[in-house]
Amino acid sequence: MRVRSEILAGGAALVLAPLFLSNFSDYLLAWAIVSAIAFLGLTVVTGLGGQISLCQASFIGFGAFFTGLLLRHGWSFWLAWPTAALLAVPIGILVGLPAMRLRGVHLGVATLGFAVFFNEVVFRWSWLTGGSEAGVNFERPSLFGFDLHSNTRYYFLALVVFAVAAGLTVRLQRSVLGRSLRAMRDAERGAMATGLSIERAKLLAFSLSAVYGAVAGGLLGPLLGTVVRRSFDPIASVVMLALVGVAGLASVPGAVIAGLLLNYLPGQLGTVAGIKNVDLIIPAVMLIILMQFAPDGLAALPRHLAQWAGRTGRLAPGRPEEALP
Amino acid sequence: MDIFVPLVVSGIVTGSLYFLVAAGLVVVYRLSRILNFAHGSVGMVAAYVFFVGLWPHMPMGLALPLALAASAALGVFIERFTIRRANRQSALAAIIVTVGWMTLLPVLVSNITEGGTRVVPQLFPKTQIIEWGSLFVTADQLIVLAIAITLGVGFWALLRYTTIGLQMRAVATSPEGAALLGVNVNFVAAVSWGVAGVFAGVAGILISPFINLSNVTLTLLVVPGYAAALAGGLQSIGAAFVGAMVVGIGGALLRGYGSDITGLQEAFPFLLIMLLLIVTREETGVARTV
Repeated sequence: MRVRSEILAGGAALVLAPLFLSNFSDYLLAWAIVSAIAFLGLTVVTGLGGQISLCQASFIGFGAFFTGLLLRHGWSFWLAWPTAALLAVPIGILVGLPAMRLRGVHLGVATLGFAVFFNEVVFRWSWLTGGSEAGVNFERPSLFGFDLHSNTRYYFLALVVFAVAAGLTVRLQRSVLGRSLRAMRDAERGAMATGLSIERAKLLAFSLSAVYGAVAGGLLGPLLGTVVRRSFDPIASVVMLALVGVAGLASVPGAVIAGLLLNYLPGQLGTVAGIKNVDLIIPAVMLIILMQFAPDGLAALPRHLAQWAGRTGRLAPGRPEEALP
Repeated sequence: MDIFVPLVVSGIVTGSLYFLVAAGLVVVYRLSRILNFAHGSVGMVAAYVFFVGLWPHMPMGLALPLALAASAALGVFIERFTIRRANRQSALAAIIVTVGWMTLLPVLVSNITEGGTRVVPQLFPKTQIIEWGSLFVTADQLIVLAIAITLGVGFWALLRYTTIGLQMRAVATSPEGAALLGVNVNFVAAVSWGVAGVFAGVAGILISPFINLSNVTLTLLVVPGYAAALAGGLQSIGAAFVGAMVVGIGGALLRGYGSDITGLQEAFPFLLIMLLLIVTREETGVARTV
């Protein structure tokens, strides 16, 4: 029950935050929540399924550019955005296809190669991205006459979408599928021996993470106004995995923390003590350190500390477990 | 037909460079069962140390060993202080640590050197050595191939004829068995990361004159390098050489004959990895099936 109240407090903080924040902060917060939706994809694939995924930013880019393409053809945003998200399903399946062959470790590099492929080939197609480095422009939509132009209103749209996605993720974690993913992560051959359908679980995890990415991408375009190819390069995907590793790989709060680390904090901090890129250096160093003793990241750190305080001395063996809400 | 031979020649040179990347990946994978995402970034650090830090101030004969020692030390440091402990948590944790280094190293290098891609001077003369019909081969191309073969054969000899080589082979076959026989498994693991660091360093330094010094591009060399290692079945250095030639020549031919499709060459390693992962069985590759 203690955990549940923490979740409620976190949710309340997210809902009430715009009351206390400036317009610019609302913009950054909306950006962070949009990213958190994409991070949920990594929660499923890497946190739950134990598969290294280094192409999440490519999925975001696909969602953004494809939504933009449909908008240019005169579609309504409320039709274009879900269509782009649905089209991400086959792409996720394509990426996950090699995962069917018991070679999860190797798949990580394939996902990185996929990110290179999307950045160098697909995002250069002029019919999709306009072909120039200037990027694709978006306008903020309105819903049934309700204007979403202000940053605060757009933030609440993102928050609602995130809440739905988070609810779906929690349900997935507790479902048979989620349990088979977890079993697969911890003991792949053992899970297969019990008759679980590992292949289906993996493909579903990858297609779901692609959908989360594309949903975030569709929201990102109108939020930022302009979307450029550079934002979705392979390094962006690598940074995403590093951040969610720090924040908590297998939990919904971890996805929110990762979103804040990626888009909210850097905009607020600027440069700290004259060191550039401090928003990347600190998480990367923290990731390397955290993996030594607490592979489930910051979101699970209170639990680790509680265990540590409760025992005499050593940390509990750090098998990554879910911080179930 | 006219462009076929020159394309193959340039593919062999690219393949030699990929082989140097792949060799380090295979060594670490065989000994620690870890896929080292930071491999390219270690080579990137060596290239910056050499081209920006050392070579402008001292002769190449001094700068090169120092830069390679630095990348070997970086490899050993990563293994000793960040991989070994994380690997006891889980293999996934150890691999994520390498992702952490892959994030950290390019940012640090960009901060220290004030970012950006640099054009670096050629290491070797581009004198034309062979001219035969449509075939041109320059000195630097031959030197790169020679270095790749020398290092490959040298490492094979190390594995075959030295005690540490025997220990490495023992650990690769069975870590527990080797430990029971008194092999210091931790020391062997550290040595393998050091060797991988040297391979990465040589690769980074040799590649930079061809593609310019760039912290991101060199970091992402792990992708074609891994495609080569996978095409060789991640088994042996010799197989990695064959795999690297497949990736290098294949990519060059695609660039030559499919030039109207943008980015085909960049996409080739990814497409090859996907194909190999889907088609081949575990731990086999092109080298095993041909």
